[in-house]
Amino acid sequence: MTYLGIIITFIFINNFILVKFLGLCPFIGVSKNSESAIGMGLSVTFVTATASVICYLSYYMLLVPLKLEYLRTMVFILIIATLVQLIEMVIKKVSPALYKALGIYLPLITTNCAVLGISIINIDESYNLLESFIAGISAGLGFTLAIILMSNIREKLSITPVRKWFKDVPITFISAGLMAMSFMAFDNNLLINLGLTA
Amino acid sequence: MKLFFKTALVLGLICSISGAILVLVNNITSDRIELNEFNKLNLALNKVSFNNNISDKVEVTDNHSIDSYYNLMDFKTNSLKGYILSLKGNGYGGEISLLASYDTKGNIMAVELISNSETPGVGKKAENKGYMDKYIGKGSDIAIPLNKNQLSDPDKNLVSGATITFTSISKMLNEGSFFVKNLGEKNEY
Amino acid sequence: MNTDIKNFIKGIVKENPTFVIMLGMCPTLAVTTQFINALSMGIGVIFVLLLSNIIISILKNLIPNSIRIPCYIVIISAFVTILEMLFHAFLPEVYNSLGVYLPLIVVNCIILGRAEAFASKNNVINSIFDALGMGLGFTLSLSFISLIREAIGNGTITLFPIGRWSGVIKIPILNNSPIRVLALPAGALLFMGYMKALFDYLSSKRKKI
Repeated sequence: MTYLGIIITFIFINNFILVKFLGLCPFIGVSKNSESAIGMGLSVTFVTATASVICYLSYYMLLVPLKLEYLRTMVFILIIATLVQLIEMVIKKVSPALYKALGIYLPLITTNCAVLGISIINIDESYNLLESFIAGISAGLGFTLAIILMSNIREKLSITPVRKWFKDVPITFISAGLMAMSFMAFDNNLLINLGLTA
Repeated sequence: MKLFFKTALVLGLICSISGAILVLVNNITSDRIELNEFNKLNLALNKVSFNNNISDKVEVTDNHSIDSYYNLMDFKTNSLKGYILSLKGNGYGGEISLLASYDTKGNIMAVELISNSETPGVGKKAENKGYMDKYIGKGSDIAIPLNKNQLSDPDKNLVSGATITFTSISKMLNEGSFFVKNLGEKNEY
Repeated sequence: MNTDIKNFIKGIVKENPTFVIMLGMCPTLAVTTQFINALSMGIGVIFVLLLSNIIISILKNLIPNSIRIPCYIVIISAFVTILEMLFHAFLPEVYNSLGVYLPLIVVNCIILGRAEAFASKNNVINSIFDALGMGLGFTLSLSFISLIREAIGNGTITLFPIGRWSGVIKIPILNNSPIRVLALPAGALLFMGYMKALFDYLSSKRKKI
C-alpha cells in the first residue's frame, strides 16, 4: 500500500476509535472539554508513533532472529510501559510547560489499547519500518481527530437539555455512533478510486 | 542500593519464570498449530483440485495478488491440466485469501475462501455455499464479472451491500486468470 | 451473607464491568458481532483474570510496591500469551476471528484493575471468587450484547459447529432482511449508549425500592 493510502486508512477508513474501538476508555473519559482532548490526542499520537518504531525494531532485530515471535505481546507491553515512563521523565526535564499540559494523560496511555494495537497491527500487516512509523502517526491522528470532534460535541451537549437517563455517558456513546455512521462514507472504495491500493 | 537490587531481582525473576513457562507452552502447542495450518491448506487444495495430482509449490514474487501456484496434473495421464493459484487481496475488513484452480486457458474451475475478516452479515456472505459459483467456468471465453451490473439478478442481490468484498474477490480472480494465460504461453515454447 | 458469595455476585450485577464500571470497552464492542466470538473472548478473559488474580494474590507480599505495576503486566501478558497459543492450537477459527483483540486482553482494564484493586489486597480464595464474578459478569454482558447484535443485525446466532451441523441458527424473518447497522461499528456504539441508559434507569429504580 502507498504511504498516502496508509494515512487515509488509519485516519478515516479504519479510525481507531470509531471503527476498531481501540482506545475507547480515554475517548469516553477525557473528552469532556476540548483542551484536555487535544492534550490526550497529541500524547497518544506521540506514543503510538514512537512505540510503532521501537516495537518494529525489537520484533525484527531481536525476536525474529531468536525465534521468539510468540513473546511479542509481553515484550511490546513492557516496551510501551517503559517508553511511557521515559517520555514522562524526559518531558518533565525538558519542557515543564508541556509536562503540565500532557503529564496527567501520560500514565493513562500505558493501558490504552491503541498503542499496543498499532504495534501488533504493524506486525500483522507486515509493514516495513517507514510504513509502521506512518501507520503509528496516522492512527494517533485518527484518535486525535475523533476525540477532538467528540469533545466539541460534548461541550455543546452540556448546555443542551438531555433526558435524565441519557445524560453524560449514554449520549456520548450515541453521538459517537452517529459519528461512526458518517465515517462509514470512507471505505476501501475511496482508496480504489484514488488509485492508492497496491 | 540494596533496595535497588531487590526490586531488580524480583522483576527479573518474574520475567524469567514467565518466559520459561511460555517456552514450555509454545513447545506443546507449536506442532499442533503447524499441523492445523497444514491440514487446512491440504483440505482446500483437495477441494479445488478435484483429485488431480498437485505439483510442488512455486513461489511468485513479482505479482502482488498471487503468492504462489501449483501445477495441476491429470490423475490418469499426468498431463498438465491447469494451475492452482494462492491469491490474496484487500477486502472491506482486511486481507482476503483464496485458493483457486484454473484450466490452462484461464477458466476458473473452483474457488475456496481460505481466510477473511469481513463484517458478519455483509462481506462474510462470501463464506456462504454457492457464493463462488458465479465465477466458475469464466475467465477466457466469458469474462469474470468485475462489476455488480454484470451479474444476474439473484447474484446481484447476494452481493448487494458488500460490493467491496465482491469486487476485491473478482479482481483477484481476474488477475489470476491473466497470470494463468501468461503461464500457458510460456509453457508452450 | 458469606463474603465469598458477595464477592462473586457483585461482579455480575452491582459492579458489572461492562455496564456499570465501563471497563474493557474495546473488546466489548469489537468482538460482539458474533455470539461465538463474544463467548470465547469472555472465556479468555475469565482464564487470564482468574490465573493472574491467583498468582498476584500469592505474590503480593513478595513484590515491592514500587515495581508492582510492571510485575502485574508481565504476569498478565504471560497468561495472555499462553491463551493466545492455546487458542491458536485448539480453536484456530476463533483465533482468526478474534484477531488483534486477543493479545489486547493484556490492556483490558478489567484485569489490571482487579489486580490492583482486589488481588493485591486480598487472600487467594477471595481473589478467586472476585475473578470468577467479574469474569462471568463480563462474559454475560458480552454474550447478551452479541446475541442481540447478531440476531437483529445478521439474522443468525453462531454457536459451535457440532458434527455435521454448521453451528449457525438462522432466525426466519430477520435472516432475509436484517437491520444491518447493528452489526456494523456504528451500531455497536449506538446500542451501547441505549443499553447504558437502560441500565442506569433500572439500577436507579431498584435503589428507590
